[in-house]
Amino acid sequence: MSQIQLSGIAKSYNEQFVLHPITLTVEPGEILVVLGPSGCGKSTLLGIVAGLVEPSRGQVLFNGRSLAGVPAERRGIPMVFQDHLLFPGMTIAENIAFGLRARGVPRAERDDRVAAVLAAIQLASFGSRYPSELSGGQKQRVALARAIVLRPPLMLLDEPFSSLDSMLRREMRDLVLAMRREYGFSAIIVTHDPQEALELADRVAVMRAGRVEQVGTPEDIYFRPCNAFVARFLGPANIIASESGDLCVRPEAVQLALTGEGVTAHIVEKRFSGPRVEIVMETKVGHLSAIGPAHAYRGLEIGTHVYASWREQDAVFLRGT
Amino acid sequence: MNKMGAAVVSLILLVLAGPLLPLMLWSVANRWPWPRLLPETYSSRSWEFVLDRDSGFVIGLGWSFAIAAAVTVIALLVSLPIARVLGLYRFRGKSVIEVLVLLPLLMPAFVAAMGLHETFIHWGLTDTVSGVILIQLVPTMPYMVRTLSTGFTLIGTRLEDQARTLGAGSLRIAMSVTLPRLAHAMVAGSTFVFLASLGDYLLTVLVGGDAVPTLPLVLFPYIAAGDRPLAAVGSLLLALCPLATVLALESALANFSSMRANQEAKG
Repeated sequence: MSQIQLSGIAKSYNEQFVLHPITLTVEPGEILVVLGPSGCGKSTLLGIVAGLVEPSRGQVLFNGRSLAGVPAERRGIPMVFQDHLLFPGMTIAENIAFGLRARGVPRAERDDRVAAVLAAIQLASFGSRYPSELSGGQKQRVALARAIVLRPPLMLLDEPFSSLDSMLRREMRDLVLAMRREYGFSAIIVTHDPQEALELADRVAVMRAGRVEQVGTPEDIYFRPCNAFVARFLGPANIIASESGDLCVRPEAVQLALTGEGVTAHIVEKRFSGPRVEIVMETKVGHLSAIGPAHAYRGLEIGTHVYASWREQDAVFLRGT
Repeated sequence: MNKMGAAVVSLILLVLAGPLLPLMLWSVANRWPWPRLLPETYSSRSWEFVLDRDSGFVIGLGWSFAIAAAVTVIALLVSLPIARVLGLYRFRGKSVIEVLVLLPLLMPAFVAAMGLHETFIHWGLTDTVSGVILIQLVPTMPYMVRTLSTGFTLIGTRLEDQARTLGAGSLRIAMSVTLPRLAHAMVAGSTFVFLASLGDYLLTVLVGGDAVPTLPLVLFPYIAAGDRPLAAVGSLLLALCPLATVLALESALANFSSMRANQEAKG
């Protein structure tokens, strides 16, 4: 396991920054998820670590050694892309063995390692098939296996599950975490899906327009967003203006009562989604939203007057937008 | 629908094979005076003559294939890097280079050859095999570059990037990732170049003279002399060579992926 440091990494095209200087560290064994909307520069960041994109400034340090000038094929950092990119003319086993062959791993060991990783992704009997015979989820598992079989210290995953449906995505997340327990790698995963980021990450780095807005544990980022962008990007948020600045309160931290203290509100909308229900209210501080278990909100209907409140520790002051 | 289809196919066959029919008849005709619909007497004289080693036809056929093969291989090797750059990268002055590459197509090859002839004399390239190969590369290279660069654009660099992050060097990537995917474009470009070389008369005679007697050069005197049966046999040969070449290349391509798969499994 290794440590990766990005030290002042920046990328500009024609004097235009797509990536402002970024400094980040991925600790050994850690999964860092870089989260941001499309076009925020997160894939460029990954390309720089992989060695596919030349940074305009700064350097990538691998266990303290600079990777400047080291070509991608000698970095030993495999990357998994969104669209699996399996080699169409090779069987599944040949695809997985590709990196091992490039490293000159002898045939017998190669076969053993390929068989082991095929079993781990539950495709043990698929070795001699071609990529075109596999489903999307299976192809993505092979792409993951093709990287993991190299037992890399660090893996890069670029929107690895975005092309899969939600069921498969959940499976893949579990697979990645299980594989990390077994093989112990660090990873940088790029995604635009906050759900994915929160479930996979040891730490999340939220990016916007080429800058890192906030880095922290999933709980940190979710409950203590530094600004309105981060707050809204990670999930539904009530942003309430007050004299001492904007406050962020997550809808699930908002408590509703028919009597008592709090902001007077009347319900204008009720969105039922099975286990949970979202209540939207009009108050003197603007619209507020509360999300809670459906059974607890039974009896609250559109037009009902309620009192909305939250605990002090659930409200966070935002710095900027 | 079926009737329509059959009619269309018959029409295509008629258009393609129609001109060949009189040639086939002429090739076995002995006497065919006007206005008879069919030859009066038949003979295998022309075929025997053409297939006889001493007549020069068989050797001419050999020359044609050897020159065409050399031109194709050189065009392929020289075009690959040019096509890769043109197909994958954007840079200043790219359109100028593209026009330069296509320029030989915009001007009749003969015009360029007339100018080049002078230079070739200076360099001692006239009446040599190298000279013929070089002059044939002039009008054929653009086809190859064009086809290959489109191929490169279509396959892109993403699979190569993937292979690099898995640790593969340039040679391994070229052999196991890029070239297999480029096979179709390479076959298409090679077919163009090979056929253009096979059928060339003017450039070969201009630069090669008698030193490089390819099939068209062997054939021409008989056409000029009005020996119709002999000209017919020669023309048939000349017409069948490209057909055979195309069929051979296509079937080679069809076998390509399964062959490669076997090799990979063995290696």
